[in-house]
Amino acid sequence: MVAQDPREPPPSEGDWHHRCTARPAGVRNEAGSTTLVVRASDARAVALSTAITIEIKEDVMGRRIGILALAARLAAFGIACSSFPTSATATVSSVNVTGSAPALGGTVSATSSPDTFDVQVELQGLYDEISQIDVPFMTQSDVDLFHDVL
Amino acid sequence: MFVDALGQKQTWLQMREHAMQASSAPPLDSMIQRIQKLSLVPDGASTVVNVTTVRTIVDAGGRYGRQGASHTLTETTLYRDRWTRVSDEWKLKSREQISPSTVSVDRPEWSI
Repeated sequence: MVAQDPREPPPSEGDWHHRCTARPAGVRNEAGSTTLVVRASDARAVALSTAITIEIKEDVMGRRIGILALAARLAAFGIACSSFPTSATATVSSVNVTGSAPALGGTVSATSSPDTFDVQVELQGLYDEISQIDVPFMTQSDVDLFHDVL
Repeated sequence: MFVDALGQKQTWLQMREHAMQASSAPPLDSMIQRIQKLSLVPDGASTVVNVTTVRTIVDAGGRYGRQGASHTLTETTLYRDRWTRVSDEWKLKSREQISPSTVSVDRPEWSI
């Protein structure tokens, strides 16, 4: 696990510190902490796709930051977030970034088994895609994309 | 298959028709679906999902205050979804509403 304070300058070099793009696959709110689960694709390592769990612990000063501010902080670590749920906010004192890929230098932080975790990330990504479809422009093929007659 | 809070079942064709009808309804401001719980089952996965939708309405009748004022309605519903994997893709097999919908008016966005 790699733990860094987002308010500190990011390391100039580091196995896990590199530019990647991330999109949210889930937001888990629990007492005192929020966990963002994002998918990331490494821009330097082609075909590397991994899941990163970002744990946000409660700020001792009780500061609440918006998701855009959080995205800006993540950007300081070389993680570019293409989009986040606009409603997500969190209090932040530290951000732990862990990844399953060797290039990210850590292991996935999950309370459940890896299989369950992977499935949850995948399905949460689908839920996010479904939710982000602009309903007025939904076509029959869009509807069928996520559903099927079984 | 969709099962509503009253236990009434609807087939996929009925649900598909509802989905298409939604395309002509006033657009949502946002929709968030968060997995609360996930279990692996033999043919796929079962999830409990909290679905929150936000829409803006014009309160012509003054139900929530001044007539003609705009309000945001935040609706939250809990569903149990069954997903199955078909040809290496996840497909939503069924959705069962497991809690009554709750609607709050002018709920702060950050509290969602």
